[in-house]
Amino acid sequence: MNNILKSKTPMMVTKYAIDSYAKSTDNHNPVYYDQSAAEDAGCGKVIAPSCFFGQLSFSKIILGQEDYIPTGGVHVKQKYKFCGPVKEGDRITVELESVKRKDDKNRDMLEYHIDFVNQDGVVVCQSIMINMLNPV
Amino acid sequence: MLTALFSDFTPESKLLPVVKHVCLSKIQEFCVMSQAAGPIHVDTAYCAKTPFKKPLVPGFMISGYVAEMMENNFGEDWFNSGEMEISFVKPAQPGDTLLVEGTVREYADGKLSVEINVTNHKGGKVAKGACALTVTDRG
Repeated sequence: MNNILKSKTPMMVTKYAIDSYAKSTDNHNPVYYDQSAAEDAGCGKVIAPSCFFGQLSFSKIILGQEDYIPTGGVHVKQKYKFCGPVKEGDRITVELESVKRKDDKNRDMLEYHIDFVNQDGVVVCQSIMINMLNPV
Repeated sequence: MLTALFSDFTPESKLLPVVKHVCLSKIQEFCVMSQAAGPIHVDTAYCAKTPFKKPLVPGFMISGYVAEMMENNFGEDWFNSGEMEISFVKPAQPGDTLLVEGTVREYADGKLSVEINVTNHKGGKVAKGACALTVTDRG
Protein backbone atom coordinates (compact mmCIF):
# COMPACT_ATOMS: atom_id res chain seq x y z
CA MET A 1 0.00 0.00 0.00
CA ASN A 2 1.28 3.43 -0.83
CA ASN A 3 2.09 5.78 2.01
CA ILE A 4 1.53 9.45 1.24
CA LEU A 5 3.04 12.17 3.39
CA LYS A 6 2.98 15.94 3.15
CA SER A 7 4.86 18.55 5.12
CA LYS A 8 2.73 20.01 7.85
CA THR A 9 4.66 23.25 7.74
CA PRO A 10 7.14 24.62 5.19
CA MET A 11 10.82 24.38 5.95
CA MET A 12 12.58 27.73 5.84
CA VAL A 13 15.81 27.41 3.90
CA THR A 14 18.23 29.21 6.17
CA LYS A 15 21.75 30.36 5.47
CA TYR A 16 22.82 28.05 8.30
CA ALA A 17 21.17 25.00 6.70
CA ILE A 18 22.79 25.71 3.34
CA ASP A 19 26.16 26.38 4.94
CA SER A 20 25.94 23.16 6.97
CA TYR A 21 25.12 21.09 3.91
CA ALA A 22 27.86 22.66 1.79
CA LYS A 23 30.49 22.20 4.49
CA SER A 24 29.53 18.61 5.21
CA THR A 25 29.98 17.73 1.54
CA ASP A 26 33.20 19.77 1.24
CA ASN A 27 31.62 22.00 -1.37
CA HIS A 28 33.50 25.26 -1.14
CA ASN A 29 31.87 27.38 -3.84
CA PRO A 30 31.34 30.73 -2.06
CA VAL A 31 27.90 31.24 -3.62
CA TYR A 32 26.69 28.73 -1.03
CA TYR A 33 27.81 30.72 2.00
CA ASP A 34 29.00 34.20 1.04
CA GLN A 35 26.31 36.81 0.35
CA SER A 36 28.63 39.09 -1.62
CA ALA A 37 29.84 36.18 -3.77
CA ALA A 38 26.23 35.21 -4.44
CA GLU A 39 25.45 38.78 -5.47
CA ASP A 40 28.51 38.92 -7.73
CA ALA A 41 27.36 35.70 -9.40
CA GLY A 42 23.94 37.22 -10.01
CA CYS A 43 22.13 34.92 -7.61
CA GLY A 44 20.88 37.74 -5.40
CA LYS A 45 20.97 35.62 -2.30
CA VAL A 46 22.98 32.66 -1.12
CA ILE A 47 21.75 29.58 -2.99
CA ALA A 48 21.74 25.93 -1.98
CA PRO A 49 23.76 23.21 -3.75
CA SER A 50 21.44 21.28 -6.05
CA CYS A 51 21.47 18.08 -4.00
CA PHE A 52 20.46 20.02 -0.89
CA PHE A 53 17.10 18.45 -1.80
CA GLY A 54 18.44 15.02 -0.96
CA GLN A 55 19.13 16.18 2.55
CA LEU A 56 15.69 17.75 2.74
CA SER A 57 14.03 14.54 1.69
CA PHE A 58 15.48 12.78 4.67
CA SER A 59 14.80 15.52 7.13
CA LYS A 60 12.51 14.56 9.95
CA ILE A 61 11.78 18.23 10.49
CA ILE A 62 10.21 18.76 7.10
CA LEU A 63 7.90 15.78 7.30
CA GLY A 64 7.42 15.81 11.04
CA GLN A 65 7.46 12.02 11.09
CA GLU A 66 10.21 10.03 12.69
CA ASP A 67 10.12 6.76 10.85
CA TYR A 68 8.77 7.10 7.33
CA ILE A 69 11.99 5.45 6.24
CA PRO A 70 13.04 2.65 8.61
CA THR A 71 16.49 3.06 10.13
CA GLY A 72 19.17 0.74 8.80
CA GLY A 73 18.47 0.87 5.09
CA VAL A 74 20.78 2.04 2.36
CA HIS A 75 20.01 3.75 -0.92
CA VAL A 76 20.65 1.77 -4.05
CA LYS A 77 19.44 4.39 -6.52
CA GLN A 78 18.61 8.09 -6.54
CA LYS A 79 17.08 10.20 -9.29
CA TYR A 80 16.69 13.96 -9.34
CA LYS A 81 15.16 16.49 -11.68
CA PHE A 82 16.11 20.06 -10.83
CA CYS A 83 13.85 22.89 -11.93
CA GLY A 84 15.60 25.94 -10.47
CA PRO A 85 17.88 27.04 -7.65
CA VAL A 86 16.67 27.27 -4.08
CA LYS A 87 17.72 30.39 -2.19
CA GLU A 88 18.08 31.47 1.38
CA GLY A 89 14.65 32.41 2.67
CA ASP A 90 12.68 30.06 0.41
CA ARG A 91 10.04 27.97 2.12
CA ILE A 92 9.92 24.39 0.89
CA THR A 93 7.22 21.82 1.41
CA VAL A 94 7.51 18.17 0.54
CA GLU A 95 4.99 15.77 -0.91
CA LEU A 96 6.17 12.19 -0.64
CA GLU A 97 4.65 8.92 -1.78
CA SER A 98 6.34 5.68 -0.80
CA VAL A 99 5.68 2.04 -1.58
CA LYS A 100 7.36 -1.15 -0.40
CA ARG A 101 8.22 -3.78 -2.99
CA LYS A 102 10.62 -6.61 -3.73
CA ASP A 103 13.46 -6.28 -6.21
CA ASP A 104 14.47 -8.95 -8.72
CA LYS A 105 16.53 -10.67 -5.98
CA ASN A 106 13.52 -10.72 -3.63
CA ARG A 107 15.04 -8.09 -1.36
CA ASP A 108 12.79 -5.63 0.49
CA MET A 109 12.89 -2.18 -1.06
CA LEU A 110 11.19 1.10 -0.27
CA GLU A 111 10.68 3.35 -3.29
CA TYR A 112 9.65 6.91 -2.64
CA HIS A 113 8.76 9.73 -4.98
CA ILE A 114 9.17 13.26 -3.70
CA ASP A 115 8.07 16.66 -4.99
CA PHE A 116 9.72 19.71 -3.46
CA VAL A 117 7.50 22.77 -3.77
CA ASN A 118 8.47 26.35 -3.00
CA GLN A 119 6.44 29.14 -1.44
CA ASP A 120 5.02 30.10 -4.85
CA GLY A 121 3.66 26.61 -5.46
CA VAL A 122 6.37 25.85 -8.00
CA VAL A 123 7.87 22.36 -8.04
CA VAL A 124 11.60 23.07 -7.78
CA CYS A 125 12.81 19.47 -7.66
CA GLN A 126 11.42 16.00 -8.14
CA SER A 127 13.21 12.93 -6.94
CA ILE A 128 12.84 9.17 -6.77
CA MET A 129 14.77 7.21 -4.16
CA ILE A 130 15.11 3.46 -3.83
CA ASN A 131 16.14 2.26 -0.38
CA MET A 132 17.16 -1.32 0.46
CA LEU A 133 15.57 -1.92 3.82
CA ASN A 134 17.74 -4.71 5.25
CA PRO A 135 21.22 -4.58 3.71
CA VAL A 136 22.88 -6.42 6.60
CA MET B 1 24.28 33.57 -12.81
CA LEU B 2 26.76 30.83 -11.98
CA THR B 3 29.83 30.33 -14.09
CA ALA B 4 29.97 27.23 -16.28
CA LEU B 5 33.49 25.88 -16.68
CA PHE B 6 32.80 23.34 -19.41
CA SER B 7 32.23 24.10 -23.07
CA ASP B 8 33.44 21.14 -25.17
CA PHE B 9 30.35 19.10 -25.90
CA THR B 10 32.08 16.64 -28.22
CA PRO B 11 31.29 13.02 -27.35
CA GLU B 12 33.96 11.45 -25.11
CA SER B 13 35.01 14.85 -23.73
CA LYS B 14 35.80 14.67 -20.02
CA LEU B 15 34.22 17.03 -17.51
CA LEU B 16 36.32 18.68 -14.83
CA PRO B 17 36.29 15.98 -12.13
CA VAL B 18 35.76 16.19 -8.40
CA VAL B 19 37.91 14.40 -5.81
CA LYS B 20 36.69 13.82 -2.25
CA HIS B 21 38.48 12.38 0.74
CA VAL B 22 35.92 10.76 3.04
CA CYS B 23 36.48 10.29 6.75
CA LEU B 24 34.20 9.18 9.58
CA SER B 25 33.96 12.66 11.10
CA LYS B 26 32.75 14.04 7.76
CA ILE B 27 30.10 11.30 7.53
CA GLN B 28 29.01 12.02 11.09
CA GLU B 29 28.81 15.74 10.33
CA PHE B 30 26.64 15.03 7.30
CA CYS B 31 24.37 12.64 9.19
CA VAL B 32 23.85 15.02 12.09
CA MET B 33 23.06 17.82 9.67
CA SER B 34 20.58 15.67 7.71
CA GLN B 35 19.14 13.98 10.80
CA ALA B 36 19.70 10.66 9.10
CA ALA B 37 22.13 9.08 11.49
CA GLY B 38 21.38 5.40 10.82
CA PRO B 39 23.85 3.08 12.55
CA ILE B 40 25.07 1.72 9.23
CA HIS B 41 26.57 5.16 8.57
CA VAL B 42 27.89 6.26 11.96
CA ASP B 43 28.10 3.42 14.49
CA THR B 44 31.48 1.71 14.20
CA ALA B 45 30.66 -0.94 16.82
CA TYR B 46 27.45 -1.86 14.99
CA CYS B 47 29.17 -1.93 11.62
CA ALA B 48 31.98 -4.15 12.92
CA LYS B 49 29.38 -6.91 13.37
CA THR B 50 28.10 -6.56 9.80
CA PRO B 51 29.60 -7.83 6.54
CA PHE B 52 30.62 -4.23 5.79
CA LYS B 53 32.91 -4.05 8.88
CA LYS B 54 33.08 -0.25 8.65
CA PRO B 55 30.43 2.49 8.26
CA LEU B 56 29.07 3.25 4.81
CA VAL B 57 29.20 6.66 3.19
CA PRO B 58 25.57 7.79 2.75
CA GLY B 59 24.33 7.72 -0.82
CA PHE B 60 23.20 11.32 -0.32
CA MET B 61 26.83 12.36 0.15
CA ILE B 62 27.91 10.63 -3.06
CA SER B 63 25.05 12.09 -5.08
CA GLY B 64 26.02 15.45 -3.61
CA TYR B 65 29.55 14.99 -4.96
CA VAL B 66 28.19 14.14 -8.42
CA ALA B 67 25.94 17.17 -8.33
CA GLU B 68 28.88 19.38 -7.33
CA MET B 69 30.77 18.25 -10.41
CA MET B 70 27.79 19.11 -12.59
CA GLU B 71 27.36 22.49 -10.85
CA ASN B 72 31.02 23.32 -11.48
CA ASN B 73 30.89 22.33 -15.12
CA PHE B 74 27.49 23.71 -16.12
CA GLY B 75 26.53 26.40 -13.61
CA GLU B 76 23.06 27.85 -13.96
CA ASP B 77 21.99 25.39 -16.65
CA TRP B 78 22.45 22.53 -14.20
CA PHE B 79 20.32 24.19 -11.54
CA ASN B 80 17.55 24.97 -14.02
CA SER B 81 17.38 21.77 -16.04
CA GLY B 82 19.68 19.12 -14.57
CA GLU B 83 18.59 15.52 -14.28
CA MET B 84 20.61 12.87 -12.49
CA GLU B 85 20.25 9.14 -11.97
CA ILE B 86 22.82 7.43 -9.77
CA SER B 87 23.07 3.76 -8.81
CA PHE B 88 25.25 2.78 -5.89
CA VAL B 89 27.29 -0.23 -6.94
CA LYS B 90 29.58 -0.93 -3.98
CA PRO B 91 29.97 0.70 -0.58
CA ALA B 92 32.22 3.69 -0.06
CA GLN B 93 33.71 3.81 3.42
CA PRO B 94 35.78 6.09 5.66
CA GLY B 95 39.31 6.36 4.36
CA ASP B 96 38.25 6.22 0.74
CA THR B 97 39.22 8.86 -1.76
CA LEU B 98 36.49 9.17 -4.35
CA LEU B 99 36.98 10.33 -7.92
CA VAL B 100 33.84 11.62 -9.61
CA GLU B 101 34.10 11.72 -13.39
CA GLY B 102 31.79 12.63 -16.24
CA THR B 103 32.09 11.85 -19.93
CA VAL B 104 29.99 13.48 -22.64
CA ARG B 105 27.90 10.88 -24.43
CA GLU B 106 25.65 12.93 -26.68
CA TYR B 107 24.89 16.53 -27.55
CA ALA B 108 22.03 17.43 -29.85
CA ASP B 109 19.57 20.31 -30.03
CA GLY B 110 20.94 21.83 -26.85
CA LYS B 111 20.46 18.61 -24.88
CA LEU B 112 23.58 17.17 -23.33
CA SER B 113 23.92 13.72 -21.77
CA VAL B 114 26.83 12.71 -19.58
CA GLU B 115 27.93 9.32 -18.26
CA ILE B 116 28.88 9.35 -14.59
CA ASN B 117 31.36 7.13 -12.77
CA VAL B 118 32.50 7.29 -9.16
CA THR B 119 35.54 5.20 -8.27
CA ASN B 120 37.54 4.79 -5.09
CA HIS B 121 41.30 5.11 -4.71
CA LYS B 122 41.70 1.39 -5.41
CA GLY B 123 39.97 1.76 -8.74
CA GLY B 124 36.77 0.09 -7.59
CA LYS B 125 33.51 1.43 -8.96
CA VAL B 126 31.37 2.89 -6.19
CA ALA B 127 28.54 4.44 -8.22
CA LYS B 128 27.52 4.93 -11.81
CA GLY B 129 24.81 6.72 -13.65
CA ALA B 130 23.93 9.47 -16.04
CA CYS B 131 23.16 13.16 -16.03
CA ALA B 132 21.38 15.29 -18.59
CA LEU B 133 20.67 18.98 -18.99
CA THR B 134 19.70 21.65 -21.46
CA VAL B 135 22.60 23.91 -22.38
CA THR B 136 21.55 27.51 -23.04
CA ASP B 137 23.28 30.02 -25.27
CA ARG B 138 26.24 31.35 -23.36
CA GLY B 139 26.92 34.19 -25.74
